[in-house]
Amino acid sequence: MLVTRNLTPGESVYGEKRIAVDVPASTPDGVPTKVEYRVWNPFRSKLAAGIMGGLDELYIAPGKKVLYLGAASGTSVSHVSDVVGPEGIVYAVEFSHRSGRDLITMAKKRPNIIPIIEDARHPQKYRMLVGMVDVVFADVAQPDQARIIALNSHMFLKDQGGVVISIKANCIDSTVDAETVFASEIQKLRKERVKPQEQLTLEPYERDHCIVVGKYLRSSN
Amino acid sequence: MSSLKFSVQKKQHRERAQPHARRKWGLLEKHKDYVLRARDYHTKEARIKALREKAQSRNPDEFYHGMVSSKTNARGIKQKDRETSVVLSHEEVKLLKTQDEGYLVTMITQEKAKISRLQDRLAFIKNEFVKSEPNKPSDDLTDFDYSDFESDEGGSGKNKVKKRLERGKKKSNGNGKHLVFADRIDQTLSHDESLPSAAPELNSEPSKTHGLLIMELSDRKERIEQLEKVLHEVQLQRQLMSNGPKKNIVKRDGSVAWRWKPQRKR
Repeated sequence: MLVTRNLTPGESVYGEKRIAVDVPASTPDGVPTKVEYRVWNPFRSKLAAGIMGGLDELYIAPGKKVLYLGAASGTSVSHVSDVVGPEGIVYAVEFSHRSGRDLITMAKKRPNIIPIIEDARHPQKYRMLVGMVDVVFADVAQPDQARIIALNSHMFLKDQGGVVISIKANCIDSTVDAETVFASEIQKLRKERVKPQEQLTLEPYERDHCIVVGKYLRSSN
Repeated sequence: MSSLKFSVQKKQHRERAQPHARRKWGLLEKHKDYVLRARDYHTKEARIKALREKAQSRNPDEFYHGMVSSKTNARGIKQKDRETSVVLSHEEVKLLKTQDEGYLVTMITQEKAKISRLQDRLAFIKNEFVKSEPNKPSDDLTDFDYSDFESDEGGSGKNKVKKRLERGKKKSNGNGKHLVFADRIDQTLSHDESLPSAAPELNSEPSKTHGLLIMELSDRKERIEQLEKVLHEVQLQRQLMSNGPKKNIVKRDGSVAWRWKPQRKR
């Protein structure tokens, strides 16, 4: 079971289960505290499915700045915000207004999330809000997602930064088989100076999905 | 004569039932059950035979005056008209299509709720996909490697590949295919084969409930896709019934769309 440490103890973001663990006092006369963890369901979140499936290098770590494209209602974003902690920042980009409302409500409680309700295809529209990031995570499910990720990476991602993409084969091209789609997407990424490091299919959590992790090498030296 | 028999010989013996191990094949048939089944079969056989003879000895020039107004389909079977005395008007058909739409939307909402409940349930059922240490319970955090979160920017390329593979063997819990891209050919050659690969091996059979639930989840996801397609179709038909000149256009990627002529609202 995958859990993340709750940044806002006592609150459930989307109705997920929480587990409270007693931590004994560090000093003999201190008080024992409770730490709360929230369950991260790999059937609901692609990133959790990737972690459970065994990704080696995730790039999302405490203190990192993450650009999250395709944030939807913010269920996975809340877990990423738990992982990066109070020193990190999550820039959550979502175009739909309905989901954006939920995202904003969640971001009010968590100070390390910056919600951006804007089309990810035009990163220059939110360039004033986003600084340099360490990781770009994309779960956009669009046919031109390679171009969207490339535009955002060139504008916001630092050199040697991480790129984590969730690819849905059905959405890119439903006529060819999934392996071909994944290979073609990786080829597109190579052209945009992202060096792919690993590819993991998300069986049994999702069908015909995969996660690709790569490194953004701005210069070819 | 029945009076010449002893009462012991007249004893009615109880029927034997299907053995417990064979219960999936249902009732154990006795002679009386067989007789019923055989009689039914032969009756039907005789009926079909009689009909076949009638069809073969058909008079091709037969004529009945009812033939004038009735119809047959391509296979020669008589088609009866629907027994609705009412012919529905355009608005009434539109209303019925709205009801279809409403029904589909209800079904889709129900399926979505069931899918989310299944996903929540699946997250808590223990699945035994992978055993890197078979006797250790899977949620034991004592060997959680906090060094995974340290940055390894100082490491050289070769060490980094090896370190990533070492991390991978601890925390894989699925059976997806995992490809790792190596930087140079010597990294692939030097990759230590004795290290267990990051791809997990199915050690034991995943539990039966888990497998059934996963199948149910994927079936429901398929079903919701189909329902949404049908909903889109019904909505399109209802839109097409609205008045106003429209034309059919074929977009660049081959999909078909309808466009209405813009009419000024008064």
